[in-house]
Amino acid sequence: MSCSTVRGILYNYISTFVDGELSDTDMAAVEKHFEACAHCANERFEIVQMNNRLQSEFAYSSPYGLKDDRKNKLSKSLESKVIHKKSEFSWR
Amino acid sequence: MDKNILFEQFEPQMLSHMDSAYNLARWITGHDQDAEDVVQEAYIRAFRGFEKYTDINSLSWILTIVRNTSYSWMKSKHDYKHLIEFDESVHSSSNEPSFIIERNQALRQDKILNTSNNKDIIHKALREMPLIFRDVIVLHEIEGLSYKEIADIVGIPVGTVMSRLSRGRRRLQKTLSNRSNRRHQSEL
Repeated sequence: MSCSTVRGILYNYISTFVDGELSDTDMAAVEKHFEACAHCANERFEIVQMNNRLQSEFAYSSPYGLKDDRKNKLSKSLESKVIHKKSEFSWR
Repeated sequence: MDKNILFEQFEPQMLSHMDSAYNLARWITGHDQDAEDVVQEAYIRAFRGFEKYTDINSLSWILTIVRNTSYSWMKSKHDYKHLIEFDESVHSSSNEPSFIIERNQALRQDKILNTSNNKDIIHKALREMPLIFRDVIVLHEIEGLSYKEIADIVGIPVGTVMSRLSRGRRRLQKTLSNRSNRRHQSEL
């Protein structure tokens, strides 16, 4: 595989490789390319680093007590909105 | 079926996904209160459809509803700024990252990425990213969903998920790269 193929604009093999979503054949081909190309190997490293940061630092936490509070609110909402009144939105 | 019995079945399956639901709604709407309202509305919608629910993947199912509810919510709030359709000529960068990244630039980016105070930069870049990229990145990177699950939630082919993810990542990297270049120039 060449760099231009591996780093395609619409289909980026490096991105898909990192996600483990390539076929076994393509995984092997891209892996082989990394061994020969420091630039592509470096991009793989950058994507992995970015992914790790996004996974560990960028999830919004539910407000404190949301789950318990939500259960109560939901029960009330189901009583008042679902049973007695239609939502302002239509069901998808 | 009696609604109370239905709720007893609904609750253990769906309420465990509330954190993911909130996270997705928060990233789409951009506001805490809106996200809370969206989650509540989405769960009401989900409960209404629960009797007909046959999906094996309850997380994908509830996130599909949360995403659709978030978009409906923003339209109802006339928040069109974030809902504008993606326009290639407007949103694409005229200078996509070069195929060959200079090694010293990559090393500077590596340094930048590892600096904790750059969390704000990444957060801002993701927050300002067009929604078509943002929701795919949030679903994949933060919620850890597969391409197939995302394709089902967003209603697009798997190939489009790959493409959007790849381009979204490039945008984030470009933001960091630009930042690192500016810092490097100011240090010279």
